[in-house]
Amino acid sequence: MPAHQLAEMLRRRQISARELTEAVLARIEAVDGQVQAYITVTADAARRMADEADRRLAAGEGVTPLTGIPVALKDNLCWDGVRTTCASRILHNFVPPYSATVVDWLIQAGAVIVGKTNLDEFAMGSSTENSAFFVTHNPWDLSRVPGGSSGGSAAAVAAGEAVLALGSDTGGSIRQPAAFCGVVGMKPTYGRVSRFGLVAFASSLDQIGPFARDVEDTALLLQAVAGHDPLDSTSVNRPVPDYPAALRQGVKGLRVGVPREYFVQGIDPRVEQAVRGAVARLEKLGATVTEISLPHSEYAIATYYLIAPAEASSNLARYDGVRYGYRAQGAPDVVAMFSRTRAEGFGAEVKRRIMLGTYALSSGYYDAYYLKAQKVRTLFVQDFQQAFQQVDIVVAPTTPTPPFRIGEKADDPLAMYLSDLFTIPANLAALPAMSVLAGFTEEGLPLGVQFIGPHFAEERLLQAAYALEQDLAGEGVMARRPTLPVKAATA
Amino acid sequence: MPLEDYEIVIGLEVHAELLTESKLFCGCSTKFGAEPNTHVCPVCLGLPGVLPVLNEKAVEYAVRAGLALNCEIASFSKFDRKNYFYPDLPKAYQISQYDLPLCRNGWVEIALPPADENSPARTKRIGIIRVHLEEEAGKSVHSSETIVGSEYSLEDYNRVGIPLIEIVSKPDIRSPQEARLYAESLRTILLYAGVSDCKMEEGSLRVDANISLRPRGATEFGTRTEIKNINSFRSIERALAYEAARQAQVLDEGGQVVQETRAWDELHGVTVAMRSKEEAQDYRYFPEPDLVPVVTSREWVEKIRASLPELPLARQERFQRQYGLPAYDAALLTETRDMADFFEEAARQWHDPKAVANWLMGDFTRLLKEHGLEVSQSRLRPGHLVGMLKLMEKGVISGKIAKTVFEEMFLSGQDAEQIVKDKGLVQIADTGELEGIIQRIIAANPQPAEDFRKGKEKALGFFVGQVMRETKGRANPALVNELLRKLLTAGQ
Amino acid sequence: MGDQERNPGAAAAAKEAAVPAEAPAAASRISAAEVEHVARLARLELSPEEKVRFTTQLNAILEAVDKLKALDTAQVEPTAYAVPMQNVFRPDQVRPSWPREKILQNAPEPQDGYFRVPRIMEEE
Repeated sequence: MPAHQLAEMLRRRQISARELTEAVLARIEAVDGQVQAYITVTADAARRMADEADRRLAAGEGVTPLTGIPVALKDNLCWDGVRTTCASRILHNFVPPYSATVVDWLIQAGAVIVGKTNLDEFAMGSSTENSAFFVTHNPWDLSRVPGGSSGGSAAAVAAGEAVLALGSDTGGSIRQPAAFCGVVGMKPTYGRVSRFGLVAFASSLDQIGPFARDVEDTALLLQAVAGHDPLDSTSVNRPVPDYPAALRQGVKGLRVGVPREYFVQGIDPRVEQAVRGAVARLEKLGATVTEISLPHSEYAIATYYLIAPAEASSNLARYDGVRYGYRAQGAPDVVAMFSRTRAEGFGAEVKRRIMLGTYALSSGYYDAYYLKAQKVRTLFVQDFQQAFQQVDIVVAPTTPTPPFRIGEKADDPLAMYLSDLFTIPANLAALPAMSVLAGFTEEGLPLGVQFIGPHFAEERLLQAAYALEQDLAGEGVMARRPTLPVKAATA
Repeated sequence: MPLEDYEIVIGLEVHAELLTESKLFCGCSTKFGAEPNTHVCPVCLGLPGVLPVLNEKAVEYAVRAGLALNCEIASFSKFDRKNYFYPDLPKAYQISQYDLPLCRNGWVEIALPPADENSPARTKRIGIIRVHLEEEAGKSVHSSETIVGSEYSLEDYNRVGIPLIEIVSKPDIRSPQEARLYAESLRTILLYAGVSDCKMEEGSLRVDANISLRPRGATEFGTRTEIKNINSFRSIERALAYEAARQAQVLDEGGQVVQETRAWDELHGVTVAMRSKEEAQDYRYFPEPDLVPVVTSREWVEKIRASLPELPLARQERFQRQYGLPAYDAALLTETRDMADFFEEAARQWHDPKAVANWLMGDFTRLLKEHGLEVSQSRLRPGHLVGMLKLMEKGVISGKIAKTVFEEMFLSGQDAEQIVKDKGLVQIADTGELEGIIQRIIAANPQPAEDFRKGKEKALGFFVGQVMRETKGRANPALVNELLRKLLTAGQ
Repeated sequence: MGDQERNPGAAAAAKEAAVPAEAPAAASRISAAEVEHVARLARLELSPEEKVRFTTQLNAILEAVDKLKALDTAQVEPTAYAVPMQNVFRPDQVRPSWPREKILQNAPEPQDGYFRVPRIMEEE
């Protein structure tokens, strides 16, 4: 059941926050053995927070739409006193003494945090196979990946192991797993949500965003985490609109652009069909559809895989075994200690990106690689500026394919990188973008459609996504849930 | 060839910590000398997920320094990451400025000593390439005397994130002495501008020097070395003189100077190789994505410029002009803003500025040093000095007594008049009283009296000394002289 | 770092000059020796097997990113900040620092209120 309905029941005292939390914890107990969405389940803290929520609900004080709602956090978001690992050996024992701003705000809103979810190590990956701990499975088909890097958060929401979840999106890490898991995921405009307390991967691209079962829930969670934070210099100081209020405005007259470049590069026909179907629904609902061009789309992967690793090579340099985290033992000197700590602490993909990023920034190669990529980034910004002169939103596939099998691309980094082809441009241009369910394949795998808007046009995205969702719901598409073999509850 | 046949080319990189209360990117205190790791928070410790937020005052101070150094202030400036691994650098990058520093193209004028007594004082302009803002690293405490000899080190991050400016000079400096004068001028200017306390002993001012030699007349630069670990102004000159001689010897022996970083060893008075440039770091600078650019408005910059005090060289020249002070005095008195202010306040109230200057450069400077005080901490204020000078002029106290009174004023902060009264230091100018004393002394010393009468003028000095001793210095010297001559000859 | 290097114009020019003009398409983009150099810069100790694997993989990735060379960006300004912002400051106010136990709570090797590290061989 979505959060907005649960919130109503909580307010009416039809259920208690404690009951709801126990139900979610029971669901985790029952299915997480197969899904493996969570790195850490914070059952005790969740119960305490649920009881606090019940007190607030009883007193009618400080009640928000999230009060008593169970939420999961991607394990790269710091929560005071709770292990935050980034699914990396190097942070396997790290306990932050502070919380991310978004976590503080969730707690203030009365949300109940049930645990920390699995991810590709340091959010680098598209399948959650790069976790140092275990692979998360797609609840719709356990042999398939949930996408990544926020695969744990997406899978948890899809499997009913959390009502809502937060993830982070650097090149598609919210939208791609949302599409793979048949849930809604949004990457807000860069700067809309504070990054303070989000363990950095690529600082100029990273953005925290919501996962939810439906668009209305997405709006509720976005509402709770959006806003100016003086602790993040890149957090934008501008008013936060009333997102839920925007939902029901319909799409009549909305100008929808469909970028032709997104339908040529080896896109799976099932994905294309679903996206075209979604566009047709929007048109039926009153939107005007235009084909547009985003001419530099084919350069997305190349640009991203220079900028993101370059920033990452610097952001991840602090993991040196001196102040926190893993330290290699027995090194004779400090340089050896650094090099062995990092060799033993990081997994293959993280090392690969550190190497690539270090190289792209190094003397003699900076101009040819990093600076070149920053210039091409400008072309992406310009592509979208031109597009948004003609249209209000861009509708495109979220991913080129439906969810792939675990292990299918694990040995081929470049093939894996292609999963982000359609999601990267929004990060490069700092635009808001979201993925919503567009339908299913014959074998029952979810397919996503992506909406991209101009800076700070989150309302417009929610409005269009909500209209599509309502239309699909009329045909029962939204009612489909993954069926998971439920383990008998242990006594 | 002898060192004189080489031209020495020097450029200095000076780091100065800024006087902000809090660090550059977080609210931790910048106070010196705290217990290890007690001025630390998640931001300066570089814990995962934290972000920097720029201290506005630090930007203002950097701009202030730039203006005091005659720089152009950038209308658009940004921060960059300088990436390198070191245990005292928590993020493994230093937030600094690379291609768009806050300030550029400035200069400092230094006063060179005259070539000989008859030559006029000379000044020389040393160009400044840039002044940029960056953060401090922490400190490693080593388990034994030397780094390499230590089995382990201990990291203290109190200093991490204190704001610094780095001032990079052009290679305009031509001698070790000029290098010291330039560094001293910089210090004076930064102190005047009120942006740094410039304490080399606490590390809030640090100087690295690049030095190369070339045959006189050559236009190409020679291979340079960089000298680090210079810990006093005197060492700047010593280290560079040593290094110039070393390079000359290498060249004379047909060798080549290796481009490298060398450390100044104060104890042995030598520079030693630290690491060669071949293995030097590749800092991989790139724009800091966690901070947004700084855009300065003309009005803001002009407001800061207007708030700058008169700077040392201008003030020095004015002191010579307005108060008729010798260049030496003017330079000494303008070394710190507080001393110069002290002088001006006293000089405004007294008709003889040179007398004021003498007291300040002499007894006052000595007493400050003895008690380890700054001018601002002195209980003796300009009014005290003027009050004492008035008593001297009226003949109430002698110059000798004045020294006692001055020290007493310095210690107690009391007025000269009060001290003179309380301690009975009023000059004896009573002829009768002095005559009695003098007669007794002459009677007790017949031999020197005889010497004097035989024309030995020096003997008079002996009697003056005796009288002063007897009167504890209170006798009016002119009167003593007069009476001595009269009574010594009268006895014939 | 020396004056010349501090002069960004000169540094940029030096970087420009150091870029290999146009590597022959067949030649590998990054050599095993460069991989080792980069690993040293990044403080990553690589096994012999990793050196081989990373050389192959990085070459494949660099070949893919070389497609950017086809774009003429001579007149394009780089984007470091996609949402234009400026002058975000905090006031110069001291906030209490953290208790030392919290600062040291995650330290692999705390000692006497410090973070202990093995022997430092080189001076920075």
